[in-house]
Amino acid sequence: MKLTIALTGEGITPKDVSLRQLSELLEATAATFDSLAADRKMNPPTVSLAKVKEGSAAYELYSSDRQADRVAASFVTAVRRRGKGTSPRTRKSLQRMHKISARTGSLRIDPMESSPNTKPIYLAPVLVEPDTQVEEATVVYGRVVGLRIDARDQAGVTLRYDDGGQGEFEASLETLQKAAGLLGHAVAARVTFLRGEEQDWEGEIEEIEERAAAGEFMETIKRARRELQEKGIVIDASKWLVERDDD
Amino acid sequence: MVRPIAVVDTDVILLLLDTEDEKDVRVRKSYAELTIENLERQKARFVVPAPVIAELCGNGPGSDVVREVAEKVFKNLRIEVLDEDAAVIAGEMSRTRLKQRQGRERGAVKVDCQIAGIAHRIGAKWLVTGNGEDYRKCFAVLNSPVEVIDATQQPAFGQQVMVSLVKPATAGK
Repeated sequence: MKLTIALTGEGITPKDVSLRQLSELLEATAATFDSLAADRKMNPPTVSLAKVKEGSAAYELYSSDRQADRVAASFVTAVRRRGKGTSPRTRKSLQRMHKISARTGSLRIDPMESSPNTKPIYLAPVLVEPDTQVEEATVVYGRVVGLRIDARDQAGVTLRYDDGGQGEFEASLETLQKAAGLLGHAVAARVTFLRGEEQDWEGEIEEIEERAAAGEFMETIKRARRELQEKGIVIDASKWLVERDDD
Repeated sequence: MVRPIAVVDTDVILLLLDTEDEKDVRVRKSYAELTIENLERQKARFVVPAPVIAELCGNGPGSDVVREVAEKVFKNLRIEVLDEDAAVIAGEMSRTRLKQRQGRERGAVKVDCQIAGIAHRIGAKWLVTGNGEDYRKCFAVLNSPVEVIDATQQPAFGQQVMVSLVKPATAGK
């Protein structure tokens, strides 16, 4: 994959871009790639800076990862559609790229040579998604399989669901630390999803707790029953069932 | 491999937690235990719907005690909430079932439909209950593939493997 991002404007050269701004821009770009890869359930590609062109502060990005071309194509589409149809995390990263680049000039993206449409495009402010309005809280069950923390202390926890599939949720640092201790463990997590008309997106992880592994149901019940008997607590199912049947 | 889900109903949990071992409960309890063990051998993942907890904690003698136990037991188990999709399914079931409830209390029918709705929504393979007849009617409304297992009765044909494991039902009584 080869893709160029360039800060354009009258007489702008790499000397007009401070190190801090460049590092922020590259970090936001990397975060956008990571997020787009997560949207498409792919591993994030390792993208590096291959070349800096003198003319218009252009930065050539390169990756040899197999999935990088697909992620880069998604990136170009996301820029072209101003983030429409992407996850909230991707839109946030794109918006950040726009905000950082706007301090100096416009951000131009030169698509890959292999791309069918190689015409350069400019990053415009991200569209506000009107259809992502419902935030739903629920509990999901699975395993902690990934943790992420970026340069701005934005954290994420990836859960592989018991029912198949996986999702990456934003998390506070406190939750991330808790999740780190549960890496690989079976957990129950209280999370939110953003429900769109066409697609749902993972939101935040609010709470995470370890739970017993599957298949321990009878053992758990028996343990509880033993505990009850030891404490002299009586549960008389016959009385309960009679009352329920009377209903 | 995704494990098949078995949803457990209130009466089965009550029987399993029973500490008294009264004569009329004992047989049903052993059938319930055998059913659960049989499902465990089939690598089932057990799920307790939230309305079951409401039933356990909300009524009956000693509900305070049960609530305390429930907190301990269910902390380790998978609890499935009644989300929007499940609620829509439950609503559709109860619309039909309330018309044909034949004297059953409305609330009980609705709770059954909520439990059935959750089971259908999460793609459960089995619903383990002592009240199979009513649940079959719930699932029939949607032609749901969820299989109802009568856990508190003598295993029917097709579950003969469990019959051989059951001790004589009236032994010692």
